Amino acid sequence: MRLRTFHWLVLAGASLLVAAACSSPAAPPPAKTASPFLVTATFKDVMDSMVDPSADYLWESVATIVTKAGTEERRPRTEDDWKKVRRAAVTLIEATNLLVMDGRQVAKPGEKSENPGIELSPEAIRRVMDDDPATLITLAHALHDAGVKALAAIDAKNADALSDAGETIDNACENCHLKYWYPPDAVKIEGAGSVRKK
Amino acid sequence: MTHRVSIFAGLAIGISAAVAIVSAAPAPTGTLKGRIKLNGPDPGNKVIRMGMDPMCAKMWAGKKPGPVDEVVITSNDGGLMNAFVKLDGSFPGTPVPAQPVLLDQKGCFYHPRVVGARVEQVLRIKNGDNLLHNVHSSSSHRNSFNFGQPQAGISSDFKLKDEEMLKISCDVHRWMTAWIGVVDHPYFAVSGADGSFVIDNVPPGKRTVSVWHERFGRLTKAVDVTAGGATTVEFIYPAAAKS
Repeated sequence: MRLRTFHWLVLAGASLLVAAACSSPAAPPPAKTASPFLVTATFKDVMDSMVDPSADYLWESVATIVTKAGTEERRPRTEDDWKKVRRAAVTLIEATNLLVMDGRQVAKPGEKSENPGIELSPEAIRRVMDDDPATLITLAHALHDAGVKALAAIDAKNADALSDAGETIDNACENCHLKYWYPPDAVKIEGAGSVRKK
Repeated sequence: MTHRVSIFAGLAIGISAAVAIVSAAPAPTGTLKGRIKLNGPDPGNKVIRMGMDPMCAKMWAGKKPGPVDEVVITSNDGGLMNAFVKLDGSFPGTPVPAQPVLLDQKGCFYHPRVVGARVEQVLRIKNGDNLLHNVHSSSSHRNSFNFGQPQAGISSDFKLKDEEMLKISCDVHRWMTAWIGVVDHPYFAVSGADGSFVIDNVPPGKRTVSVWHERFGRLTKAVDVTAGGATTVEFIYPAAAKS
């Protein structure tokens, strides 16, 4: 009996809540809290200061060099070598988070494309990003995951796996460049050119 | 009287013709030849890991030592290949060859790696690989282009507009690099496997000759090209660190 009364009370309460929700205007969205991030560097700065140098360091850390005297395998060997290459991997991984952070400008105000017509202007890059923010996150995550693959190889001190991860990083880099850096219609020649098929 | 006039007229015509023949004769020229050398041991080249594009990797499967990024190629006595040599300065205009300069993509490399071309000459870029290449020039002048060639047999023409060392690369395959030395006169050459080069038909006089190599940069020398003779010059790059 006590239980049945309780059920009625719950039902009545729920009805009241539903009625209130239907009759009153939509509740305002929760106030957006200020971002704790102090975003200073531009996208270009992050690429130039963190992504490029750390990716280059990883790529350069494992190589086969062919000379007249023979073949030399370059790879991290000492603890210090592995420590340095690990720093590069960590920098690369975390830089991908910086790339998707709200409020980051593509370039400094007034900064132009270094190769106009061949590379998109900062304004055009911004438009491509704003048109499809989800893809930027997907591509940044792909680079993140490639960096994690490199970090795992480094922690295992496996130079071959690090070299493989370098190729995955390369792929992630170029996929992003093709989307945001180069014009989408890069199949036609700028200027007096022609394209012919066999 | 009439006969004497005819003789004078004939003489005048003959002399004019002789003068015309003399003035039409090509001006004497000289030859510039020489060698580019690298001092010290061969720094070596990197083997490229092509795993990011399995179609490229497949073309090199089983080949030893594999695909090498041939930045520095030297002969046994230090001759340096693929250095671009040209005369500096301006010269009287000469016809631009109607034939295009060819750049092929084979085995996920450009062939040749370094080539010279004239301003206004057509650069023809061909895809010899049945896979997607992107051909992207990095020009600081008006030689910019960027286009895709998704399959074998496609070729694209671009008329070169300004002098520069034009870098060509592929956005899909990071290792692919070629250099076009674009010059507005015909006095240029690319050093061969032994580091030697020859530039013919050079107008005589004091000239500056420059050499450029993608890793070692630019050197210049003054030369005196003599009519009907051969002037020899040698460039030596200092020893290089390992690749």
